[in-house]
Amino acid sequence: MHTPPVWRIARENARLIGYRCRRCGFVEFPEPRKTCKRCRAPAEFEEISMGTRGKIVSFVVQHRLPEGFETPLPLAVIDLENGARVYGQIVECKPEELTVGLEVEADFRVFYDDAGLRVYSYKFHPVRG
Amino acid sequence: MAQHSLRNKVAIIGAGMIKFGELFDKSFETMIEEAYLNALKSVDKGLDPKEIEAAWLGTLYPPQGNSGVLLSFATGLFGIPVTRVENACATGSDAFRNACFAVALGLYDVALVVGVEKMRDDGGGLIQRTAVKQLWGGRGVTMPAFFGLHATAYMHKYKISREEIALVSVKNHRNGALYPYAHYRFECSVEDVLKAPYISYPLGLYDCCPVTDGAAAVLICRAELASQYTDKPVFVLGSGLATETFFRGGDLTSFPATRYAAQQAYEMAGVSPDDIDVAEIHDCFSITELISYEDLGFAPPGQGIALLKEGIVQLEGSKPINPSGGLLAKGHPIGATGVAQIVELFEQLRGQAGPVQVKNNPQLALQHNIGIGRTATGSVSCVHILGRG
Ligand SMILES: [Zn+2]
Repeated sequence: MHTPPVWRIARENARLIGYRCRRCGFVEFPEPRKTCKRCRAPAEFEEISMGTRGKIVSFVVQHRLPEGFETPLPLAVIDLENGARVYGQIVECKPEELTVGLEVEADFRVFYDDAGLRVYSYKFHPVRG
Repeated sequence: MAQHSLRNKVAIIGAGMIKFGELFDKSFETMIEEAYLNALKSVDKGLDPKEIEAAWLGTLYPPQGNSGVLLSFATGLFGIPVTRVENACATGSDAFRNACFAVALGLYDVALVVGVEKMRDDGGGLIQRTAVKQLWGGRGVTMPAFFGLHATAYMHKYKISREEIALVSVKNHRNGALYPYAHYRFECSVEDVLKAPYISYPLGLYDCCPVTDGAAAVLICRAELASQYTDKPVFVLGSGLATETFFRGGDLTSFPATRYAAQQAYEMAGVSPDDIDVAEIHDCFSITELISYEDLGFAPPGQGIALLKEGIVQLEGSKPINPSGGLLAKGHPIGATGVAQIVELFEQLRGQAGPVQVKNNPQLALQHNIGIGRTATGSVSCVHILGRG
């Protein structure tokens, strides 16, 4: 959590905190805003927990990535339970298990190594019943 | 409401490009110079470079410096306004759009638009430029992933197979094999597309456009002056541009930015999607073209595949799409792409497109780009409608 872009959103990243428009309910993440993308106007926001569960809106399985990634890597767009939409890597899941609508849950993991310092963030795994 | 429109105020009087490809023997400036000279040569009654009063340069990754002076170095055109435009995959078309504004306003009689990109020199391609160390921008999200996410969502919602989407690549490579300026000039089969290695499932190698060098140039003038330069001008009838993001919602089976930009362009031109005779649309990936049929109003949602299966969008069809082979075969040197599409449509509307000339005597043509931004695609779209004089 040392480079400025990571430091600026450290709290939101660590606790999955979002900001909800009091007028239309749109959830802004990870930075607080004073203008709403859905209202297309200045707006007031309240801090919310985004929840840790969500559903896969769509996914890909990455086969070609820059060095440092393990492939094949499942990657999804996820709608979290309290209204935010985020990208997320999917772990503990075979690529053929992935489907649109699959329920997933967030886990705090090591994300990458930046100049010898570990950066943490969320990854998602399928909800196991 | 706006009081003015671009409709019929600007004429394209010259257009030229260079053969796209791996152009290791040509510098950024040499590519611009060749495209510019080809555009000058194409002006039927001739044009003195001293008549060019302003220029626009569309490019994303200039090799050194980043001002409009790169165009001046390549063409000798110093001492006039040169504006550099960058707007993702709409870079070239937005450069054209802004040049049209100035000429329509009467600020300049004649203007030059150049689009250019040198993409092969650094070897890595755009996957290497992926935003890697971004926590929530999506670590490991690449260009193919941006569009692959749309492919998965589209296939799921409309029960479309990879085999069906492959028909886009087959069509465009067939056209590209005939198009003299294309980077890739080979045909491929559905089986080739399906057997190719995955890049970002569900997209395989032949679902993706290549990494390509290229440049293209057009010359425009105030419509009243067109006859000084040619008896066959092409007029700008409509133009649209819009931004959007899927973080605002939607199910990823459409690019709403295209819908907004197209609506602006159709309204300005006073035409409907059915009136379009030929189109050059953004097929950076096979799925992009299929979804764009629907966003541009050529087919209802989920039914774009019928245009391919029924032959409507083939070279010989009633609404040929991407006769040049599109980005999949021609290549996608980003800043050059939109301008090259306009070059191709200029030739199609004048009946000068040679081996890829469409057979339906086209009167109206449409140009379209959809591009990325803020770690997603569908972020910016530009649409133009052009017509024969
Ligand atoms: Zn709002």
